[in-house]
Amino acid sequence: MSQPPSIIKKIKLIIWLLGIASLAILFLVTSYFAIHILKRQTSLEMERLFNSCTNLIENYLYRDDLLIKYLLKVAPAGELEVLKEYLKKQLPKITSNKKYALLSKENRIILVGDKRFRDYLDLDLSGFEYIKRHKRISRVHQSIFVKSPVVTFLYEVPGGYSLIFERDLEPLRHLLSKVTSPSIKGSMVFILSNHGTVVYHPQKELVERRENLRSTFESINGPDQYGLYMLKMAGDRYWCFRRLLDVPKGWEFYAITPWKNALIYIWKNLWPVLGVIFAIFVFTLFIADKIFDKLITRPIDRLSEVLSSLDLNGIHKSSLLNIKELSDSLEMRNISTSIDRMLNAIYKSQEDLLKKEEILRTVIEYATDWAYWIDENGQFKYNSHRCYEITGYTQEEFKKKPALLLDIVHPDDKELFKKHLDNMKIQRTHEPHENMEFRIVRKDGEVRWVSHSCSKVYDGDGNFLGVRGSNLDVTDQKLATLELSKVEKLKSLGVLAGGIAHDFNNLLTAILGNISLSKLKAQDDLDLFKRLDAAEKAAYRAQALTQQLLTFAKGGAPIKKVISLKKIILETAEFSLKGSNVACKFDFAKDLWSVKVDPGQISQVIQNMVINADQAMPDGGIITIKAYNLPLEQGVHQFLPEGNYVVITIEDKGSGISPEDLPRIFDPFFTTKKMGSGLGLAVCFSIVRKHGGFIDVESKKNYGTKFTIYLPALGEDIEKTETKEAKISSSTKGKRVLVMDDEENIRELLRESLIYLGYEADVAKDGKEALKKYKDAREKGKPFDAVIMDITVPGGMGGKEAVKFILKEDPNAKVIVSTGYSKDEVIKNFQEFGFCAALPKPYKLEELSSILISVFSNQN
Amino acid sequence: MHKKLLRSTIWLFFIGAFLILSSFIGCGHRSPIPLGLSINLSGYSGTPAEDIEAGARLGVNEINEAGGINGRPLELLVEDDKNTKEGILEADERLISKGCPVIIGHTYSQNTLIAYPLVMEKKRILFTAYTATTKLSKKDDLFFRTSVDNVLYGKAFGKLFEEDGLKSLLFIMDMSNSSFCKDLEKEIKRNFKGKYFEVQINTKEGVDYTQKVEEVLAYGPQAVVFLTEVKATGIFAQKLRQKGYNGRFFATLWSQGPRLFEYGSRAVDGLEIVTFLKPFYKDKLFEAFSRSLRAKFGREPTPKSARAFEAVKIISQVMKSCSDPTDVYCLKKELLRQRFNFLLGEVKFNRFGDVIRPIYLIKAQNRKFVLVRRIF
Repeated sequence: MSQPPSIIKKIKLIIWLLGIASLAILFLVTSYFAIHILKRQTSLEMERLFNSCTNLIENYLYRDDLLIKYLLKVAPAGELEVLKEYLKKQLPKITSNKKYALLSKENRIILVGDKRFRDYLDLDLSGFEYIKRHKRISRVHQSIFVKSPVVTFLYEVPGGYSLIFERDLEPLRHLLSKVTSPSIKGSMVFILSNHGTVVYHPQKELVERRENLRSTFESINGPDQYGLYMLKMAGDRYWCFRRLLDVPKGWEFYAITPWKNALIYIWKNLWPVLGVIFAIFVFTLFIADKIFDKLITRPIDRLSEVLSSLDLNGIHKSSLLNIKELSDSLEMRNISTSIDRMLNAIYKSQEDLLKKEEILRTVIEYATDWAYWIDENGQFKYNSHRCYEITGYTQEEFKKKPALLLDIVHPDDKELFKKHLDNMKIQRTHEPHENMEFRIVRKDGEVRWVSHSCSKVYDGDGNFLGVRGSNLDVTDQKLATLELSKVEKLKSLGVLAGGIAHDFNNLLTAILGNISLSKLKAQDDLDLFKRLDAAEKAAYRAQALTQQLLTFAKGGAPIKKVISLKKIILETAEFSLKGSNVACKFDFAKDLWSVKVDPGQISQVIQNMVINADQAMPDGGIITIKAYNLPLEQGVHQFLPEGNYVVITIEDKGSGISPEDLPRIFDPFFTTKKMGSGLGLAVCFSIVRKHGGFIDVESKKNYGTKFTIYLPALGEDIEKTETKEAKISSSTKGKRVLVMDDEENIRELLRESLIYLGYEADVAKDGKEALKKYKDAREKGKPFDAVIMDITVPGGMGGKEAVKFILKEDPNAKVIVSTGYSKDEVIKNFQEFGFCAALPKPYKLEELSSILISVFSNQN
Repeated sequence: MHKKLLRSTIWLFFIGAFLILSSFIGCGHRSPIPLGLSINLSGYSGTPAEDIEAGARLGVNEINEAGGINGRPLELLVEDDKNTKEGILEADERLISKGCPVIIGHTYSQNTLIAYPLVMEKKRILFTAYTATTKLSKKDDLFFRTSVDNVLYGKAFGKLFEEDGLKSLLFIMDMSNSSFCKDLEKEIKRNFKGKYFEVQINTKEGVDYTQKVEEVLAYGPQAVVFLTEVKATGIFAQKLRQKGYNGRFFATLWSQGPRLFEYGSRAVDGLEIVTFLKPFYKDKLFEAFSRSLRAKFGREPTPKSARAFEAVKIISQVMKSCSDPTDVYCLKKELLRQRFNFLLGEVKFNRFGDVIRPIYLIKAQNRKFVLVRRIF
């Protein structure tokens, strides 16, 4: 920023300028008058010269005139010869000029003044205009007798004769050269003929060569009040005095003075006076300057020095006291006192300001927001230290490179952010600009979400002071929102999938049951048996798919058991890799906590992961599967609450997943495989979430993928739980079972299956009938040992209600719930509804047997 | 604030520099084109040259008032050749050194012949309206003239004499311009089958008119042909008539001027002149020329001033046709290519830079020249 000019210097400069201007005006005025005086003097001098020239010329031309006139007046009249003799004798007495001739009445030469001119005798001169017209004095013309220019005087001679007397003009030039020129250098006098040719000029050659000087005049203006013309000739300007001569006719007198030299002349005469004035002026100014300096400049300088030496950031009263002693003048003391008061006020307001600033700074620095202020030049005016926590870059780094603010924006969001900034540029108010969320790439490469808000800042006068902004790290909220959105999506898909799967399950139960029975009856017919077996397998595959749909649809509620995760992992992994060139490497914690999970579903998760890993390494490789315990504290994992978890990691070194695909791999129906259903990982995710766990995935293209599965742990050793399971026995022969289902074919299938398994079976079409039959059987002393009930019966009492009545009738009743609609809460928490076991449709004969044995074992 | 002041100062400096430079460039573009006029101005024989200078100056003034040569003014540089060999060469050297692409000169054939080698060597155009000598005819060079050469005059005189049945002639020859006189005499003789005599004078050295008249009379020619300037022609005419000579007088363009009547008075009545100039031109151009000459130079128009005016006009016309008006070869090309019509009738140069113009017979009558007829 440039220093403002000193007011004292300005005042001095103004005084100097005024002085110089006054001098200039003085010079101009003086020059003006000097020019006029000089012009007048020059004009007078030139007129004197003109008069001198006129006198000289006339004296020269007329020097013999009176005598000749007298001579001719007294000349003898009569005889020509007498006259001739008279003239021959008398004329030489009065003049040495012999260029004369006596003319007859017919203008023929009858006498010449010199015998050299005898050739001209009898020459008729009537052709000459001045002779013909009897002019007293001719214009300048060529001499008749010689080669020089002359003026001819014509005299009448008694007897009708005339005398011509040529006056040679050559001597006149010599005479005129005696005339002094005007006093100013370069001045001159010259005479031009009526044609403009030079008659007399100081430069002889101009005369000799008959220079037409008038034709070289570029302009001639005037005359002015002094009778002077301004003549421009050969590029120069002259003051010019001109006057026609009476004799010879047509001749014009010129006296010229170079205008430039006239000015120089004036200057030469003027500068000593002006110099003295200037010197007096400079001296006066110098003295005034000194006085000014002593009385004003020095006290002000001293005051300035004291003020500039003050540390305004640390003003305290004691530093102001000396100001009063800066000057002994009243005015300066007043100024000092005023400044003292002003400084005190500044001190107080500064203190207040510092306090306010401290409070404000504390609030901002401890806020979770990263706040900053960029000034009108794009530099950080303020930048809270939160920038480091959020971006990994320090305040200094931002200060050095303000462009970091844009550089850290994730490449995918950069365009959006620029647009946001552009929109703000055109905004004219200090109102907050629209908020936005975008990703940033931290210094360590981590991608974080920030919520950004900003606004322009103006001062009270409306001057733009920069942009204020704040960024809040909202990564956790953002991911939670995304997760929630995913869950919501899955939920709505689940409703659809569950509905379909329920009906399929009912159908598949009937198909599978019938195939199972048919297979028992067709054991002798090998070909039929094989076909039934194939049909059964196909039905099981359909069942598996339906099960996947149900599982994904949340309807597939896990039927949790306390199991050995290690065993499931080993069996499933080995089974999944049969025939593959990929091997598994296991690493299990020795004291792996037990988990209560649906073994089938978890097996399905492991299977899907392993198969995916296998497919990611078509040229073979090793899949590393680890399981370990993880006590998780609150806030460590963003989606999991505090607690104990068993963590399973499945890692391959395969092709990896591209960053674009990575966020979508758990989406239903998203697949990169040609034959994939897109349900595998979605089901896995759904299963694990239903178990209260979570799946994380890390992948790098061409480096491999690592799935991490978190499952809530029971916190006890698996061996103990396995011991409990081992206590279950199996004694089920001769038991009576009642089947309640609204679909006749299922009723009949179950009856036949139960009979096949050695049970006595009866059926009921709804809960009401089942309750009646159960009551009747008890009354008859043949109570049913177990009841298998469907939950929903269209238009009738379903299992959920019927079980309550049965248990009321017989609190020890063993009621098994069976349904194809696996999302139902009843099947998930069957015990809460009074059931002792759950049998999801469809089921195999073996599963029916297994569940009945289990129920009867517990009874025992 | 200071930066602003500094920037303004720099701008002002550049604008000023630009203006100064442009004015210099402008000046360069408008620099005058020098045109040389080398004639005899000093001494007695220099008097007629005042007419030449006036005619030339009038021509230059008119051209400049009309915008000059493509925007550049024409500057007439006048040098006095002093009617001497040294003077002629010095005058032309000066004009050449001043960059004149064209020198108009000289007043007499004799002088033109002296200047010719120097001007040709320096590759300049020598342009004259006052040289009739055949020594410069039929040469493909840089010499141009608007006056016809003596060949044509010789033929005209020959034809005239033959038609009038003249048997004997006498030439009074002013040997101060010997080239012209000898040359014309030779050409006349070539076309005249009668007797011829000659009487030589030299006006530079002085003339004994009485003796020379006696010589003329001794030959008793039927006609006297004056190859002299006006003063000698006038005085000889008077002297011869006083001596009772009744023969016819013939003269050349050299004697075609108003001062002939001053010196010749009534004796020159009937004197016949073979010339390419008519006694008067009753057209607007000539009237305007006469008016301007009177107004600006206080002079009556004369054949000499008219020819100088015509020469300047012709040269300016060809200069305008050349992108570089000082390009001598362009000027030559344009002189040969174009036709001109200023004041004294149409002019078309042949490839040698000579002209063929109408030849007239005019006669002095009552102190005036009158047109008798056109010979060619």
